[in-house]
Amino acid sequence: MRPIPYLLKKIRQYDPKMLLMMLVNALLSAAYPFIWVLVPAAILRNYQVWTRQQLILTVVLAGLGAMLAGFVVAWLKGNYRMRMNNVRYQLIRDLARVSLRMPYENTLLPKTLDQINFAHSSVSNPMLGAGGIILGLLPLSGQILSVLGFSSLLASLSPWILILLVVILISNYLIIDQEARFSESMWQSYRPLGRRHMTLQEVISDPLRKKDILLYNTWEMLRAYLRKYADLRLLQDVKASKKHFQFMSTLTLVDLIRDVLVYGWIIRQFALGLMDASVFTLYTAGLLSFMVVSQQLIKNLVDIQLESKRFQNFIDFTLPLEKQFQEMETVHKQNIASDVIVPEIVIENLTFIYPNTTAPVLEDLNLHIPAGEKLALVGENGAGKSTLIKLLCRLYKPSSGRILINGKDIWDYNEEDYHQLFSAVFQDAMLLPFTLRDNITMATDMDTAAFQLAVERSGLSEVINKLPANEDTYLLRILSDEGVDLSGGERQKLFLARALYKTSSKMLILDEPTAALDPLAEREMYERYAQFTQGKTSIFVSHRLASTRFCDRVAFLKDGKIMELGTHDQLIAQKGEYAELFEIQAKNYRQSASVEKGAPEDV
Amino acid sequence: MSNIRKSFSYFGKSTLLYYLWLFFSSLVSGLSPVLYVYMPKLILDELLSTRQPIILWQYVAILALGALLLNLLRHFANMRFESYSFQALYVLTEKLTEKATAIPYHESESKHTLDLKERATRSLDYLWSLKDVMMTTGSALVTLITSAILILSWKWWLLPLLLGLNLLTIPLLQRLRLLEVDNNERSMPETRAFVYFTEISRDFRYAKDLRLYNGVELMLTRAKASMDKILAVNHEYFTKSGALNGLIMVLVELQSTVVFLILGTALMIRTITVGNFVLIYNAARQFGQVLSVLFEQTRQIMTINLELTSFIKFMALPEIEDFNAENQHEEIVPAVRQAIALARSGQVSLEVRQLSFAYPEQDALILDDLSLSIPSGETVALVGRNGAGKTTLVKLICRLYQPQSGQILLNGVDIAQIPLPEYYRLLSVTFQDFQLMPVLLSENLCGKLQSEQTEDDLEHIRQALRDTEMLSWAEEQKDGIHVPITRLLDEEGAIPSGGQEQKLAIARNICHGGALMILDEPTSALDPRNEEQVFGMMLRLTRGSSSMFVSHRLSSTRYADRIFVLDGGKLIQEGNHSQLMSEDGLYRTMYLAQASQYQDNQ
Repeated sequence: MRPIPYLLKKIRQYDPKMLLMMLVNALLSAAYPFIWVLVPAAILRNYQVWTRQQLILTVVLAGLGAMLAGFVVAWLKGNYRMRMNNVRYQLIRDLARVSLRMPYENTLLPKTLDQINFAHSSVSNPMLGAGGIILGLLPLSGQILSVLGFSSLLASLSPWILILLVVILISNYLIIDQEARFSESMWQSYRPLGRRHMTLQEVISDPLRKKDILLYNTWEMLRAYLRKYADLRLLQDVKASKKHFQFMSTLTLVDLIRDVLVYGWIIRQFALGLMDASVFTLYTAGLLSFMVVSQQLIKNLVDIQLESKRFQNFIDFTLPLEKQFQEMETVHKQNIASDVIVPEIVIENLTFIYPNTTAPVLEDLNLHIPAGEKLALVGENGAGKSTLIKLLCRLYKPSSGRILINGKDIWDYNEEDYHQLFSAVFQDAMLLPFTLRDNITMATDMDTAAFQLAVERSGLSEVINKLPANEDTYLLRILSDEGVDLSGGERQKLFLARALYKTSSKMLILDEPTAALDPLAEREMYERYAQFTQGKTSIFVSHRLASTRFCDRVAFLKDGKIMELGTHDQLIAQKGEYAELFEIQAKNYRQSASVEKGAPEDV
Repeated sequence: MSNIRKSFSYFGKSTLLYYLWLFFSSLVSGLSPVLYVYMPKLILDELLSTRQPIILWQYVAILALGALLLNLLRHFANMRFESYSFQALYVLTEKLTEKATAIPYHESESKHTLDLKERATRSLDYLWSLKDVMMTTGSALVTLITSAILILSWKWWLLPLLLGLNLLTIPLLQRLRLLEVDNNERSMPETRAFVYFTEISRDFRYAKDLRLYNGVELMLTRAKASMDKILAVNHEYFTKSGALNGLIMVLVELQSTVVFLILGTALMIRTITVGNFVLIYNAARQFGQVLSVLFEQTRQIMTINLELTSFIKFMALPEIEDFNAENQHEEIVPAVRQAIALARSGQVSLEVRQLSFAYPEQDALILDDLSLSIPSGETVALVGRNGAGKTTLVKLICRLYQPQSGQILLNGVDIAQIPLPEYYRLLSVTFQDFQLMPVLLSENLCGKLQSEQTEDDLEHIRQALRDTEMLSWAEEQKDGIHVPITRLLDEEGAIPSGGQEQKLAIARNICHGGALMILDEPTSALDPRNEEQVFGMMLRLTRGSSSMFVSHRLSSTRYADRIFVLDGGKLIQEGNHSQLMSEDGLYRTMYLAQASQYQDNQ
């Protein structure tokens, strides 16, 4: 779909009054410039025959008309701008909705981020993209009408004038359009440079980086980088400016030709006695106004075109996805709630390759997790544990092979229903800058009983009681001055509470949940684990191999496959890699510590 | 205007050229409307009198060529002016970034500072739009003067009359200003929230959780609430300012009405020629229009000036003392100098005396009258429960915050007395949330640009990489030890894994060469093999020199020379592993809690 029809549709959806305002503005702003072109001409024609009263009447009437038009046009401009923002904010939220609902896999594709960045820039600034188009639409029809009006006035001089005006108008348009395209393509080609400059600026001024910059005194070096980028950008900017100058000069020359010809014609007519002073005034004023308005029109058209191109990215990104969502809603997929009591998972020949890579992260993986089992998933960094979890959660689609839940392929289910089954705590979970309660419930309402239970079981209640507004305390300081930060351990408890709050979940997945917990909190978690996982199937991912003690079985992942599978004791007896890694960790907990690491002699 | 002037003071010497080209551009573009006003009068006069073709064509030629020349000059001047505008923007952005780095750590976390910084960054966009405003103002001013001259050439009293009518708009403009100021203040707190919600579409870190927990609607509901707040504030502003702008237009049109009444009458009673009628009404209209343009532009300049308040305020925030290396020639007391020299030679002893600390804006004491002492050459571990104050203590040692009471002494001297850059040379610290910069590996390690690295530096870098067993990894990368880290700035950058990153951080510590090495939770994200390697590396490299680490992994901290157990902000136990194991305290409880998981008989 094209940007302007799309935006008009959105305007009609979100704020139809704007369309009326556009109409009113068009009529008034088109008529407006004519008033003070016609009045002097009328005076010059009639001053010898009019009475005083007639003069006053004419002028005052015209004046009142101009005042009214002036007032309305000015008032409309402000009001319209505010409404534009309203529409724009809706679009920002639409973009967020689409981005947050699209298949998670899309986040892996660099193309997606690029598209979203473009889409984002077309709605985040009031002057660009959607905002620019909408703001430009207001005066546009008025400008078109004005230009038509003035050109028909001038055309009455002679049909040749009309042809000349049209030709010059078109050539002006072509020149300005050409320039816009040119500068767009220049901008595109050195956008990476601009992006890097901005990224670097953001990185340096990110509060999280500050400690390192201070402690290692790296500011001067970073500043040198900033300057390097700034210098390169300046070179480009100057080049672009020069090109702009060339275009503008061409434009000026073309206008010169027009002005000379039209003026010459007017003078000739006058000299031949074919017009009088009043008409002369009319035409020369008309020419001046025409020049001004046509330039405004062309500039507006070109800007709208430019911003349309930018905004097209928004449409190209959101429309297909929105259609997809609609389709998914109508396709009847099996409702999962009735099918699954406690999930049994079967993974068959699962292979997964990240986009734009060749080596599979998971290769022909097979695993059977009986209903209600507490499985520990262990392996070294980069073995693919998190990837497997994401595949289970339906965040990624397998490259080949499948995952069955109670015998049915997980992709046969409705996505939302399927996600109801899962509570997962990932390593890189983020706090939302809302209240603590919001962070746990992830909804605008709350099940009080479930909330209390979740908060107790996760150990978060101690944390909550220390906070100024308990669970209504805001986290982070983005929305509230009194926002609070949580320590690593407190966060972990909160994320656990969130996972436990979801009473519909039958599958609990914890990815490195104890990394930030102190030894006692860690032990507490393990002790309560049986409690959390009652009636559920669960997967505990960790490389603290001790955590596997309270799980039913251990799956050891390496090179994309499950290399070892069994209870902890079975795997120790096998003396494979699991046993080796376990020993590496365990030996330091023995009374007689070895001297291998160069540690001082122990008692 | 003062903020604009002050902002430009950061731009430096080029400011003069900026203003010069602005002046020239204004002059030239201000003159061309006058050409279009004056020449028609001459032409008309000629047409009504002798009608000599030669003269007519001369006039047309002057008009056409004059316009051409003026326009070309204007575009040229704009081009030069624009390049200075770009420069100004880059320079000021750099200063802003520098300031962000120079603000004391505890200040930089407050919402107020973050809001101000956000606002200051956005105000630089306004500074950019200043160039167009300046050009319009400048040319309007020139046109104003020239059309005033033309008006005066007929009847002197017309000018004050027009001025008087225009001055009626001034109270309206003042009201507009007040509205702007008010609007500005009221929307500032919402800016960061707005930016957050706009960014949500492209910040993929929230993606998994929002999907799995069905939190998308929550996010969008909160987004709408925040944005509606902004719209409400804007609604009031735009409604009132719209009415005021409308009234201003009414006054402008009133002027035109008055002008035509006067001139029309004059024409009727023959006190003005036809040619002058045309000239004067054009000049008067132009005068009126240009005056209102001037008022509007002045208002915009005031708006920009207002927006720049955040920039000026931000730039005026107090900095960390000694941030600029130049101000280092203060008096250093001999005792301090000695302490520094001792540290430089590798001997660092640290003493914490009755330290109490609560985070800004919070009441709870995180450290409560804490005292402990680290003799030189010892490897020390800080353990304790979450929230005991371990990381906070490290931050205080790093002088990121100031204690409410108590002191930290290095080699017997209060660390607050040591000049900050000097102090940081004595420490090598890696925090849990450390991140390498997206620059080259060698630059990360030694803190110098590649072009400034000496042979010695390169040797240090290689040695540090050797010590941390990362040299072969580095040499396998494109450009070897000069490989860019992450792909943020270079598509072919290397992306080290968690374990590799940790080792590189230690390499950085080594390169930095501080006598006191501090590591906060270095292995919490590492798998068993990497954990073993990293810890082993650390212990080996710091043997004999002073180091401190904070960790939950009691299997590793047990090898420290001395272990401090913190609880509730106080030191409750101290000693080496066996001493602490023989006491019936928190340490033993924690250690056994972890160890029991590895015992074969539960």
